[in-house]
Amino acid sequence: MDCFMIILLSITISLGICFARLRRTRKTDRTSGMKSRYLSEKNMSVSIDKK
Amino acid sequence: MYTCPNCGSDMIYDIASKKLKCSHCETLIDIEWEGDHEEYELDDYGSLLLDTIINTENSVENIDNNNKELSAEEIGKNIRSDLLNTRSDSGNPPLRTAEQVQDEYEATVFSCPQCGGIIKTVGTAIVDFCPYCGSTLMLSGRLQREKKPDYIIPFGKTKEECAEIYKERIEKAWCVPARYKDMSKVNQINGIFLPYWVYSVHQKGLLTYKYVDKENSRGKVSCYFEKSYNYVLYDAASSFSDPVSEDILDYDRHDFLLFNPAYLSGYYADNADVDKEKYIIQIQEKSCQMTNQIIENKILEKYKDLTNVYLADSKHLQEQFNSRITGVKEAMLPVWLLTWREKGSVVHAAINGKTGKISTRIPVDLKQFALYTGLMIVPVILLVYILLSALYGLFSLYGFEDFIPFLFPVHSQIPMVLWTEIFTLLGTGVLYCKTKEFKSAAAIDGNYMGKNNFDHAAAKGRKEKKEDGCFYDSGYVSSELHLLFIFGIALIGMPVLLRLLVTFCTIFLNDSGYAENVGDLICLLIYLFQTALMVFDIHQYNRGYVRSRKQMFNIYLLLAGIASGWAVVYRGSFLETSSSPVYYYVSLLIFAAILKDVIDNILAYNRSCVRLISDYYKRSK
Repeated sequence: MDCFMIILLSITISLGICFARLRRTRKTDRTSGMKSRYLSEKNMSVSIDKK
Repeated sequence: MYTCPNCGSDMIYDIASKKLKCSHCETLIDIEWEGDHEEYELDDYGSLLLDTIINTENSVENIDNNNKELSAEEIGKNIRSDLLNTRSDSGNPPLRTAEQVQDEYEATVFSCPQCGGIIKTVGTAIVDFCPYCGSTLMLSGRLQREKKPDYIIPFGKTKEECAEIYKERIEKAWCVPARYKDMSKVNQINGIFLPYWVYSVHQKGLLTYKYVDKENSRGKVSCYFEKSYNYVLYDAASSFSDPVSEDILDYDRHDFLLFNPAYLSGYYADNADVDKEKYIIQIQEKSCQMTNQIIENKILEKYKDLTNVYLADSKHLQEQFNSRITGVKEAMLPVWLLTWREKGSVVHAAINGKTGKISTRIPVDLKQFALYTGLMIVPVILLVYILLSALYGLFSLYGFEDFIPFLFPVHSQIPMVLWTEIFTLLGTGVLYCKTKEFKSAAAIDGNYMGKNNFDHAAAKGRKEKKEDGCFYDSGYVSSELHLLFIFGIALIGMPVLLRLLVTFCTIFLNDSGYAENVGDLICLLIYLFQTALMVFDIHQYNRGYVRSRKQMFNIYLLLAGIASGWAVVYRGSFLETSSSPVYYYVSLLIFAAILKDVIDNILAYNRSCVRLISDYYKRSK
């Protein structure tokens, strides 16, 4: 009984590790997204007043 | 176009020396400068209007006053009419003036008979290979005059360096099919200049923000701002997919040079065939959001006692921010494109020609994946066994034997609910990953999970394919999934808490009946949650989102698992489920569903890595 549980748990963990590893190596850098399109942001002038 | 003054051979742009180099006698010649690089250095907000095609009569103030009542679409139309005002009233192309002729350069234009892709070259280069679809049909070129783009970034990485980058990427990746390791394909790498639209955006206005401070009192903050964004890049070539062009966007604005056709010598160039007004709405929206975020942060920085700041009127951002596109220019940016054909599909890898940033999709070799998983099982079994034994030993040592059933939940209802829960959540995680992957996969030529599914979804109007090819309701999906995750984790935590309660009840109150009722409740909640997950899963399928008909099998398997789980619950033998064969049946069933889900996911990913040749045929028609 214990053996069954341990094996099943181990298979799941192994699959999970392999899958996570795959995702990590396949992942392309999409975080840059919009920001990478904006090569320069300049001239921010802000004047703030609390009413 | 460029011939060697010594021997008359063709000259090509040499990346190392940054000069034109004779392919025969290796003579080097400087590239003539047609003027200094015009920087968008804007030291005065008022003088922000750039030298653009846009009508200069519309000064910042005029546009501010005139366009206040216009919607974003109308502003877009106005800009479009300004931008495209190159035709005469009669509809005929206007006569070319001497200035216009100066703005042109001579290029040989090739058109691929299979995919319809346009390849331009300067010089006498022969194109016998299409860099987009990998077709080796001989292309016939014609000499014609092309409008000069405004800017260019010359190649900074050589073909050999890019081959190394690709090799490194392949070596780093896991479970790469053997055919991808064949480096002879790297010879088919082509240097190509891709056209990009370079936008400038200007915003200014008076905004009112609402705030909540630490004492929970509310108020308003007024803010005058002025902001400009320059060098906002968007892909102008339809033959290149937007997500890939976005992936490799890593250019520096200081690398932009005024266009000179000499830089194209020895390389291909693509045609700017995407309308420049196409991205206007998108740029307006995004730049307003970005500015809004910056202002919110600035307010929070200035007034430390505020806890929350938000725009008083969250609608009509463009109007509030007086956001305007102040200029659109065309730039040619360098990309190394590796293309080859295999099994009826085309494989692509794109590398930024200046910085070497790579974008490629490498399929997963299922045999290797199975092998690695198999190899990993043995140490994981050992680890789990050692961990449980150690905990068992510790608990026995310190006299907490009553807690052992909690650690070794074999003889209780916990294993079943915990197992199914882990499996279901893993499955949901896979679905979540898949959704994210497919958002980008779908963008690669609309070829994901088979074209039919895609068309089916589009035909029913369930989602709109935006200009960059992505489906935009994934935000909705991910947020809903996150909620489910939180719910799931809470529910997993609940049986643990309840189990502790049961243990305490049994020890201190000696009341096992109470424990059984708690067990009922746990199972009920868990299975309710799982049913909700399944319904959600099917709901996703109905939306034509992720799953193909084939993948429905997983859902049937999981549903069977849940039905069996419910059967076990009704049998009322929660505390001894592990002695029941049904328990093992349920565990195995759900495990099989998860396993199949992982495999399906990998196969679907593999399909999304390549583009079917048939898609190209469709495009050329």
